[in-house]
Amino acid sequence: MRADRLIDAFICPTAVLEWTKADWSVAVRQARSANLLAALGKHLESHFTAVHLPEVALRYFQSANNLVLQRNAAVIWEVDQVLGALNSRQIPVTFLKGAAYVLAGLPLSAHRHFSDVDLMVNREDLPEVEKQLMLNGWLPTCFDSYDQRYYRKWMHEVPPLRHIRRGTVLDLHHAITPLTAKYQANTAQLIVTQVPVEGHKGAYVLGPTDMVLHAVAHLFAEGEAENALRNLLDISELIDYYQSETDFDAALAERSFMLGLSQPLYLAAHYLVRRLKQDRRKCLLKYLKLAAPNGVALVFLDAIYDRVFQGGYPTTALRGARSARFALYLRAHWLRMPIHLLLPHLFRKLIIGYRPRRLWNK
Amino acid sequence: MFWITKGWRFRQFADGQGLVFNPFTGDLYALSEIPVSLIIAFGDTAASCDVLFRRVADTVDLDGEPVGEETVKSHLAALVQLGVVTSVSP
Amino acid sequence: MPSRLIKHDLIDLRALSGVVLSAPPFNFRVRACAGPLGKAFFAAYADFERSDDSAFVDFELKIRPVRGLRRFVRPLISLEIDGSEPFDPLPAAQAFPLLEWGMNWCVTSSANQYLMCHSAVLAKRDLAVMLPAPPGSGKSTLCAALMLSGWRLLSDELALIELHSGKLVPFVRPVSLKNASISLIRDRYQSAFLTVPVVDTLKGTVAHLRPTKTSVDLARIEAFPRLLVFPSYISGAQLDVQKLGHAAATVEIAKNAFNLTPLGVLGFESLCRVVERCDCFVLRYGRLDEALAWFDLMQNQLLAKHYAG
Repeated sequence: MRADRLIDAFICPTAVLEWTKADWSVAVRQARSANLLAALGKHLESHFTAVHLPEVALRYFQSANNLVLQRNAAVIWEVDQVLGALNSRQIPVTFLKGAAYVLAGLPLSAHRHFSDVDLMVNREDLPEVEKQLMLNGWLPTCFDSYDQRYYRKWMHEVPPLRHIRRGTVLDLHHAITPLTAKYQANTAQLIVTQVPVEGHKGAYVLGPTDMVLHAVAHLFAEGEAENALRNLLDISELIDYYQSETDFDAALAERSFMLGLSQPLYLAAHYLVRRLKQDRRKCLLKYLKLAAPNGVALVFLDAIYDRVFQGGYPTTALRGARSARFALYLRAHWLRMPIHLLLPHLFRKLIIGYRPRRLWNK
Repeated sequence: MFWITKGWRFRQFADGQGLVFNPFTGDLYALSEIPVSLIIAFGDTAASCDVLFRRVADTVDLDGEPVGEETVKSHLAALVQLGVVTSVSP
Repeated sequence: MPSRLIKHDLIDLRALSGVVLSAPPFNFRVRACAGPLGKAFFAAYADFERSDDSAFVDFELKIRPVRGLRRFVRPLISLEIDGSEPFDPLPAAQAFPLLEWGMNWCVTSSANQYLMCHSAVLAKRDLAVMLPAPPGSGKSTLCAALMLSGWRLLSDELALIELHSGKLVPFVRPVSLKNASISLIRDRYQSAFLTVPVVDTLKGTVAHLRPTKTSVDLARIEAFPRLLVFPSYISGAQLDVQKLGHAAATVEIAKNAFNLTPLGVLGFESLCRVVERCDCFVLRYGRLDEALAWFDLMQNQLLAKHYAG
């Protein structure tokens, strides 16, 4: 496999001690395009003191770190604004992904860059929540009726809401997987085990196993290739963090069967071993044997994901990376919608829906 | 009693002029019209800067002229309107 | 080992590894498979150094032709930066301006180890002046004139402020001039070296002025700001100077900051630290000579104050 400095650094940090300036240059640029600069910085700093890391790379780690610190402070503030808007109606809100990692104080939040705030409410509360958010300045970003229908019917979220003054974006979900999806997780079950956030009344985050399973569902059900490696690393860190509880692997596997997410979890563990060389996941794989996809399917998935995890950065991407990303896009849609609706939808999106990018104005 | 709303930062320059900044919205206001003698810094944590605005009987403005209570009140009301300051009953 | 750029590197620009331009504090790998880039590039960067392939490359930029039938009618080019294409394609003649905008974009979207402001920065004998201004204020013309009158250029567009020290880090690049200011500078300064103007860009006619050799030679020397001036050119206007308090000046310069909000408190405190060291003015002028004379006067006054202790 073509050398991938970025993944090498995560698998075996001491490898970076042999790196030339050119190697560092590729790794930093790759990390930047994969949204992993802060993660790479934190990972290396936990293994070496700054004196072993070249100054040219350190300043980019510092740059990413500056943004993460401010982002984390800002997201707590944004969460409080959301709670302020919804608390009068006493609607509990479950925060997901990046915002949840910050609220739960997970070590992962110290290096994870994210932009939108993801939150989940019960489906029946959705109209009221949308109304309250709109009254407080978070307005819908897309008015196309097709897109609105698509989001609400086939996805598990409302189209993104952007705050009129601040420009911050909320992704409002009512489930963690689409309603019609092959992998479906019952929201009610997730809510039963959710954990209240100290100091922020009305805010919740998912329980430990569910945090992992949400990250897993997000990685293997969504078609987004850009953050695939980052999401895989998140899953790894989450499992390692919760491992301090007794036999987390068993609890995680059991919960995955209960939520219907055992196959995606199997894939996660499989790629943690295959790509990140984490032999410690083999125990988890054993628990999930029944959920493994069939041999042929796995060969295809391996071909796709090997390319997707290596990323699209020009000098390090594997041959066929673009096709792999497209295959992922198709697969995600296939998982989401029945075939008789999938084809017209894809036609619309890929052929009609093309819009040229806006030119950046200085 | 008035407090600077949590999260806002306050900075005073050598010439006496003050600034308030909300790092989450990017809002930035010069407080050059607020009499400096009103502003007494009251501890400073890393995450927020709570500043106590206190009504002082002999409040003066930057040129040393006495400032009436009504002027002070209207300045503070404007800051409450902007969300920079929270009014708390004594 | 860095070496000067020389003309026959036109071949290298098209080569697979391109040319690694050293524009401190960054290295840019530039590759052009298309467009009349070479002439303008080597003219504008004649005094700069190039690094070899072992250097740390901060950003990779590639100008490539847009595929398809268009290339025979009115060929378009696209700028690829580190694998993605942030801009829409442009006519091939605009290759060099596109590259310059691309280089600015690279820095403003990634260099959050600095507080970045839309501002010119120049210095004379260790005293640096910042000229924050939005496009259209005449800042670039004034900046070009100051540079050609003996001030060294630290930046024409993008002020890089070191976060904890408040020092200005030079980022010397060609000065971009538009429309009427192109002929103004060319006529006024015989030594000025300008690229061939490119017409019909989004900003009108654009040309780039080669930075003075002194500016390039001192491109790694940082400076502390001492003068903060908000310039505004109004044809026929009398010279008018208003002193600005620090708070009001901070509010003004913040409007020109790229990453103040993303940097939050860190950005705010750096900005205040910068403004605090400076004498701040709003400068309205109608004649370039008067403005230049005022800058020299201010510089002498500040120097005198500085040596008086």
